Amino acid sequence: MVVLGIETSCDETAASVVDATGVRSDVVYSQTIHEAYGGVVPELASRGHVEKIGAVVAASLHEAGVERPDVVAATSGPGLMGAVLVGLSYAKGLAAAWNVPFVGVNHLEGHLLSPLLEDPAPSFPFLALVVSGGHTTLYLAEDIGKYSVLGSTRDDAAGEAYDKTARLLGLGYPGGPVVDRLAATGNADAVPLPRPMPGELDFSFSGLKTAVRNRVQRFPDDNVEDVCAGFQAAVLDCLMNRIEAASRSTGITRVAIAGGVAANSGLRARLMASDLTVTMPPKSRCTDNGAMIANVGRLYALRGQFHDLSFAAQPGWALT
Amino acid sequence: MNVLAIDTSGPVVGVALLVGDALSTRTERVLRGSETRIATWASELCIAAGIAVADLDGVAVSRGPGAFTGLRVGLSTALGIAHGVGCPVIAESSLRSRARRVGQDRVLSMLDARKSRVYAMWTEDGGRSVTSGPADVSVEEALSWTSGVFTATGEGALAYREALEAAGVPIASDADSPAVDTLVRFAAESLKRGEGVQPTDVIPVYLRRPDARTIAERAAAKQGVAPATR
Repeated sequence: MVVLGIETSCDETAASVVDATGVRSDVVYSQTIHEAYGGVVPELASRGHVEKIGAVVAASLHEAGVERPDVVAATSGPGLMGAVLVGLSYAKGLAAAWNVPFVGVNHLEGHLLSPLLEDPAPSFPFLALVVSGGHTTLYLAEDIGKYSVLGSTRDDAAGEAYDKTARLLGLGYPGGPVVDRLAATGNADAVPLPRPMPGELDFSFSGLKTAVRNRVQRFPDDNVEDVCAGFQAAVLDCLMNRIEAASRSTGITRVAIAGGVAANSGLRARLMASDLTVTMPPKSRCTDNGAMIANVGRLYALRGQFHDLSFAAQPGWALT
Repeated sequence: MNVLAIDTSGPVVGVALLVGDALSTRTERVLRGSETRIATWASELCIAAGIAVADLDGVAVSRGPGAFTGLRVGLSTALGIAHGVGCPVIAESSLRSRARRVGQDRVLSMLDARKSRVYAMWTEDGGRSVTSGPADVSVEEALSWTSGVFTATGEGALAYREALEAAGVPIASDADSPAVDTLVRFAAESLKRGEGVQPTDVIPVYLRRPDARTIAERAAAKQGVAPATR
């Protein structure tokens, strides 16, 4: 079964073809216009998707050598609604034209199940940390469509904390990759920062962001690499602490990570050094992509589960 | 010739199908959720007319102006259909189809642009000639484009009914129509003349910048300096 997956929920216009052999194509156009605004501007994101969607879909089909897939899948939420609607509507148009079934995909489920595209893929049950600019949630995945939330952020997402810290330090947007890079050469011990909410499976990052601001105001001469290292060590301690606690309480040692922050080299190194059996998608497949949407579309299509063309976009589509 | 037309630029959205001379349409006033209608209607109209969506010779779509998010639902669906079918697209101004539908010489076509403004177009010769617009203007400015006898149409005319009636301007009887019936007929003629374009060549018409300022613009505003570009 050959599935085309389309993703436009934020600032990436992406399309991919996935079949039983794996990912046949994975085309991502990343919008850069938002950098000048210091964050994603929803209306600009939506306009950008309309401009690029046709070329991105055509490239993904061409690269895969596919003229007409068996199923079309598209992100239907959660995300920026105006942006989601572009990919969703385009996908429905394609499905109508090709007379093939349609699957509306939950963006978070796309991330959560993206480790299944890896070889070896984790077997159920496994723990999955979906960590990005919009989400920070630790799930127990027992089967396709059967997930429970073990812990989630009570305020900012981890990626959001990265972006806000980068803005505070004048490092531009998006902040995650640059903080990660600078942290690699900094001394974390030089800038001690708090680890909020110890002993819980939930996360909180807004206090950490405030602590960074206070620290920078009190010690303006701090080396920026050291601040990045101190901040990253605090975030990673919080993430690792929850993963390890959840593993202890459930007895499950298989762990998968996904989402933009899963591309963080510090987090990947910490997980590699742990005793857990970890599945990490390549960095390109941690950020938003079409393959993770085609993957979920295919998994549901194999079960005969499709949606009508009347399927609505769902801005707050909860996964559990 | 089989042609499908889609308009989601106003609060009443619509899809029309022309198979030879046989016209069928679906329209509905929707506050939100037009993505639950358009592809379904397109598919249903084709089935009822006894053709496959793949049998379309062209897809017509309103490319704006209009409410941004709604507009893009129709545009994206239309472009997806044309991509899948491999057929050309006729992208037409939402205001021009509305003007043509009135069937009169001089027409002021308007869509509500909020913020006390309208997206307006002034046409003559039954919509063949666009004299002013499309532009993002106040109703007063749109009215200043011309004098003499003319008719107003579009949801913008209904939104500013009082101002138009005070100026003695008649409003078309079904001014809220998405005009997909007119769009599909004109598109069929355009397609016969070979005026269709590739789906990737369609450019939406927004007429308005998003409400967002760049870091540089925010900094300039803070210092009381007029931003360089706005």
